[in-house]
Amino acid sequence: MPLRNTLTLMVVDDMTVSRGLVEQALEEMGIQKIAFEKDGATALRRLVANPVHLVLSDYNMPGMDGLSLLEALRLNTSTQRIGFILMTGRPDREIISRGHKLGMNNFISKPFTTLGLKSCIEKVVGAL
Amino acid sequence: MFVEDGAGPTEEPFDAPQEIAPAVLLAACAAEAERQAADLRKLDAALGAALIAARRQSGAGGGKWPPDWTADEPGGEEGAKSSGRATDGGAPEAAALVPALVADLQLADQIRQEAEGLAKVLALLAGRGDSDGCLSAAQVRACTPVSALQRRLLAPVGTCPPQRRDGAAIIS
Repeated sequence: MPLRNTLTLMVVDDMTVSRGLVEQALEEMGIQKIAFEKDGATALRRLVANPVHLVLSDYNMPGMDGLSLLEALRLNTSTQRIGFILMTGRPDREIISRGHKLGMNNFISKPFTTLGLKSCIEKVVGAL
Repeated sequence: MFVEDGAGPTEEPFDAPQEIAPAVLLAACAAEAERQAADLRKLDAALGAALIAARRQSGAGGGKWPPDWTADEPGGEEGAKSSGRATDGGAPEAAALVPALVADLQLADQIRQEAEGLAKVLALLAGRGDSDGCLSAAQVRACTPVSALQRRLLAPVGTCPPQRRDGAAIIS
């Protein structure tokens, strides 16, 4: 069975269009087990209770930003092994370097293409 | 002949002042930019809902996952994700619409982020009052969530005037 059928994924983004665009791209890839959250704190609570294989999180969110969510995930035993991809409109050195120190698996710049996102995900989880 | 636009509500005549202090205008620009950014955030919710509706109509999207989560919809406010496939005659049209919508919505999302960033930079400037000193690029970068906006704002080459020990610029 291809990985795309079993992969469980959570998208965390506060903006509706952005979530819709990510969902569109993921479903084009054939990934169907997708959960969505609008903020980092709720995402963290959900992930602690129901871990997924991979989190795709926006960086720029009010309250808990993407890297704070990553940090919190890595500190919790039930979520520390979840794959983490940061989505950002500002992939500057400071953010990426902080992400790598916190255990970020990959990042993708916005706006992205479906092909770009697929390649980004496959570098973390393997061929879909 | 002067034709009035009858489409909108009639507005009271506005007596603009003869002059305005730059700091006051800057503060007004910051407030206006924030207003526009807020409108774009509202537009984001509406456009996102339209995208999701078009995708549902085209038959995209499978069953709700995970089944026991209740608030995991993209947007949440758009209502529950349909577990069925579209069956009406609008499906092919909606399917054709989605790729075009995606390209436009990527742009809309970028413009919304840039408007928010610009509003923050203007608020930063307005908050400094009459200060002539330079801002650090890091302060500007922290306000801008999009690289392209950062590059455009920070690209103009300009040097800060030398500062006196009290922070004021030295005018030669």
